[in-house]
Formats: sequence, C-alpha cells, structure tokens
Amino acid sequence: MYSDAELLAAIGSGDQLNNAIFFIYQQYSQTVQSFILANSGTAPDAEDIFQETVVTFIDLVRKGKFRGEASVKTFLTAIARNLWLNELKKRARSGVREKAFETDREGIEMDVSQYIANREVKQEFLVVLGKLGEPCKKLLTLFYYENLSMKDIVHHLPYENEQVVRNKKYKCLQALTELVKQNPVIAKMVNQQTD
Amino acid sequence: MEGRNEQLLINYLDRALEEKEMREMEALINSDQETRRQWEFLQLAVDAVEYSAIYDQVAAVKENFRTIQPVEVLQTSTKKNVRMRMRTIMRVAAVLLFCVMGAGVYKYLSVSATRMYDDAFIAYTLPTTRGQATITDIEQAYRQQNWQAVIAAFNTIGSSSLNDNKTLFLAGMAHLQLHNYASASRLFNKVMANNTQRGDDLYQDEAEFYGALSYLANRNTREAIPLLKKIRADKGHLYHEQAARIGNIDLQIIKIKGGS
Repeated sequence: MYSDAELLAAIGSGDQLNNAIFFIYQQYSQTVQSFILANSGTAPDAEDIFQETVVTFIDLVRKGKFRGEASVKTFLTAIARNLWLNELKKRARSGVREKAFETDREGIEMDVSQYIANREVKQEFLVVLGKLGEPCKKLLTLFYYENLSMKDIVHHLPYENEQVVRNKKYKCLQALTELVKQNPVIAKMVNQQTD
Repeated sequence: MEGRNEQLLINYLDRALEEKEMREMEALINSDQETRRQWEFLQLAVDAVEYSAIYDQVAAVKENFRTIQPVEVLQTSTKKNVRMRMRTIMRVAAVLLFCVMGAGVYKYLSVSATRMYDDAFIAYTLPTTRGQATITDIEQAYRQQNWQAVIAAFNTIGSSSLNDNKTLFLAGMAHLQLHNYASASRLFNKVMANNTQRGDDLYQDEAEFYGALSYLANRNTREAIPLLKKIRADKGHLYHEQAARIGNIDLQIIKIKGGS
C-alpha cells in the first residue's frame, strides 16, 4: 500500500515503478473503468482508456508536472474522463454520445486538459518508435529512459565497447529524429509552435 | 539537422559539452529559428523514447495484473453487496489473505526469466588437461576470455567445426558471454543433436545447462523449463545443484509469465 506521496516518490525513483503501476491498477482500475462503462464505453474501451490514463499519469509525474496538487484518485479520474471525452469526439463526432457523457458528469471536475494536450502526438510517438527497430529502441530506452551510462549499456547489449555504443546511439537518435520530422502529425504540431 | 550542428545539439541534449559550448548552443537555439526547430524535433524524439518506454512498462504490468487477478473486476462493481458485515474473524482472515496475496504479488513481480539467468549463470572454466599436446586457437582464446576471438576462430574452421562438440560448446559460451543468446542456443542445440546422432555424451551436461540459461536470457521460457526440469531430475547431472537452486514456484511463475 502506498500513500499518495509515497506513490509519487515510487514513480519518481524509477526502480519501484513496476510496483507503483501494479498498485495503481489494484486501487483505481475498477473505479475508472466503471466510469467508462457507464458512459457508453465497452470493456475493451475501459481497459484501453485506463491504460492510457496510467501512461499519461506516469509521464506527468516523471516530468514533475504533477506534484500532488490533487489526490491521485481525483487526478486519474479527471485524466480518464478527459481522454474518454476526447475519444468520443474522435469517434464520428457523435453528438448524442457526447451529450449523454456531459450530462452524466458528477460534481466538480478537475480541468486536466492542459495535461493531456497533443494526445494524437503521443500516439504517433508509439508509431515512430515502432518504425525505428528494436535494437535502436532498446539502446535509446536504456540511455534516455533508464539513464544508464554507456559503460552500463555495454553489459546489456551486444556491443564491444563504450565507443561503439556511443556511435550507435548517435546514429539511432539521428534516425529517430528523422522519423519524427517525417511524421505529419508531429511535424504539424512543431510547425504550429514555431510559426 | 546538418552535420556538426546536429552533433552539437545531441551533445547539448546529453549535457556532454563544455560549459562555454553549452552557453553558445543555448544562445544559438534562442537566436536561430532553424536551430530551434531542430532542437524541438530532437527533444520530441527523446520524449517519444520515454513515452514509448512508459507505455511498454505499463502494458507489461497490466498483463501481470490480469494474470494474477482474473476475476471480472468490472462486473464486481455492479454487484456490490453490503448487506453482510464481516465479523472480526473474517476481517482477520481477510488481512491474512491480503498479506499472503501481497507476498505472492511481490514474488510474482520479482521473478523473471532474465533475473533467473543472472542468478544461475556461472562462468564456464576450461579444465586443464595434463599432457595435452596442443591447444587449439579456440581454447587459447577461450582461456584468455577473448570471446570475439573464440567466435572468429570457430568461424574460420568452417563446417568441420560442426562435428566437434568441444568447439561448438566453447563458441556457444563465447556467444553467451557476448549476450548473443540466440546464437548460443543454436550451438548448444547442435552439441546435443550430435550426441543424439552418435549415441555419445560429449559436453552434453554443459550444453543442457548453458542451453537452458541461454533460453532464459532470451526469455524463451517454453524451451528453458523442460531442460531445467531434466537437469533437476537427474542427480548425477553435472549442473544438478545449480538447477536445483531454482525453486519450483519460480519455474511456475516464469511459465505463467511466458516471455517476460
């Protein structure tokens, strides 16, 4: 069992992340998924939205964008509501569904729209990483996500020495950046920001 | 991104520049629109790596959660029954059950094929044979722990090496040391196949044990478990003790987890 503060610390520390995610599923999946089911969602919808909620939450905590301003439960529920509304809008722009959803909201809701902006871009992130290829994905993940040094990476991957890892990492990042540039959804967002 | 600018931006991102260069790069990003644009793409690339890694990690834990908790979680919410209050004894039982489940969850999360590999792996030392007239290049390289040279020597020998179990086994070990698990498995399997064909047992025990380990490292638990069970069942096996140290529950867990 984690308190909210302990949960945030566990996510931040990294080495406890699996336990923290498991705890989130134990504690909050039922509440959040019931909400999706009660608002026109199917069981797979509920699972997918909850998964995306957890990914968004972990990403925000790791980047220091959520520091416990609200309770974890409130925040997760607000993210899920927002993602689900977003999804409903995306699906055929169904006025009936949205209306049903909007009228079913209970009490005061937290505004988390700022936190889940660029949802489509996040989904494209998975697409470009899929195109990158497993060896590069693994190498970049070890360096940028797990924060391993070049020396440590030599022990995890079949490269001869640190210099080989360094060169490979440079090429992989170069390839990924190119894929990101070529992705129309991501490029559109960057163009809008820089124009 | 072009040439040097690209390299500098990546070094800036990795904080691998001198302080003066860091400041210059920062100024360039602020003043030059094209550089700023490249910088944004680079940051997005790293964001993509992080997001994808979190996504994969959450997906893996979600699968574990589903395996451990096969109960229809969603259905229970509509069937909440609060009519009966738990008696004290029931609450104690629930707490105990929770503790047991907690321990089970911890055990489940902490056991994995790769961790099992790390725990069970012991380096193979080539025994010194008295009166041995010649030492092959492979043996020489193996004694020097020069794994690349072992593989190079093995490749040089050509197809005749496929009949020599010692050579095959040492090359397999070199691949294992270099984390080329699939190649290692292939060579250990060849050792076993040669023995089956000839009715021999040269390097059989070694190939079985390290073959099981290479499968574990490669998260191929379906192939690893039968080998480990075989070794555990054979008290005369050279690696019986090592394999016996792996608990039955741990084997069951990696079997359930499959490739995790």
